[in-house]
Amino acid sequence: MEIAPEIYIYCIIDDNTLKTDLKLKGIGDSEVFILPLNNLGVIAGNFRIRKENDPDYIKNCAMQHEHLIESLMERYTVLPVKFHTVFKDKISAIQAFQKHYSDFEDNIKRLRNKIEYGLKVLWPLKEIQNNLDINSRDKERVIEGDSESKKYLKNKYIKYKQSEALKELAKARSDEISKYLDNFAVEKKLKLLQTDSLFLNAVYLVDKIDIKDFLEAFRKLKEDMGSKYEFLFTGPWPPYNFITLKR
Amino acid sequence: MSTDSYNKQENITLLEVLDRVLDKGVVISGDIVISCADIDLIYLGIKILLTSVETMESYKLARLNEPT
Repeated sequence: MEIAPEIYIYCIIDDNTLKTDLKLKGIGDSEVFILPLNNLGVIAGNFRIRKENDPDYIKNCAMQHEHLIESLMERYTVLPVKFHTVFKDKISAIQAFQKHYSDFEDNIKRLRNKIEYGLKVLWPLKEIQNNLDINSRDKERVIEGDSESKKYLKNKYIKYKQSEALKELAKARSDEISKYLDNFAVEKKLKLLQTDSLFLNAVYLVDKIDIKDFLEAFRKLKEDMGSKYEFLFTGPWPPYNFITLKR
Repeated sequence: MSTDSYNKQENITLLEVLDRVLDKGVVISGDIVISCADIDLIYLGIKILLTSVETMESYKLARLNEPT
């Protein structure tokens, strides 16, 4: 008996048929097809990762996964699916996606004609820390004559104060940055101080009609603050960070 | 563009892609496999191999920020 091929899922699109002029290639040049899901479509293929212990191979596959989704993004509203989601067969895949259908419809509606941009901002940590040190040179500093336990506690306290001050500063600086971009974004998600250097890691959901203004706002931000910070601006991405499933 | 900065840019692109495709977007969560075994989700994600991409990325970025 012939075994049905496993189904690899790339994304969901806002159409249940694929435009005939699209020449899509999946990972490793594998075939790509659509599984209709009422008014939507699940973009799938017959690919499955074989060399799971080869990081370079996996990274290459991840890039091709993303590449296919980006090609579709030019023509459809897409909901990207997590890399390497594989089902036993088409029926299993459809059953699983059908359960979330209303969620997918809601997300497609909310994310229609919208794309994601990423912004990571690093500050000169040494300089920032030096300034914090100046502020913390107060009565808590360790002095000669302090007992070992007192020194330990004071050091702990100073570190705590510095970490709190760093958080406060990161919040204030990210607020400054937000003032430039917020007007042109529909939604945003911010993470502060993922490392001491990376004080802001933000993603913005931007309506396609506002792209020009958003990019101009970023250009202005970089012009004003480029000497203070290092910016890593990426996009446009499919809206990975703005998909919300209820269950 | 020098080879070094080209490689750096390529690495950043890869990390940005990995950061997104590995655990964002539509995630048909693992509990479906447990609660509805008939769904037959064979395997989801490959994060076991490429762990802590966000951490890796943060380190890379922090290194970029260090004086040479």
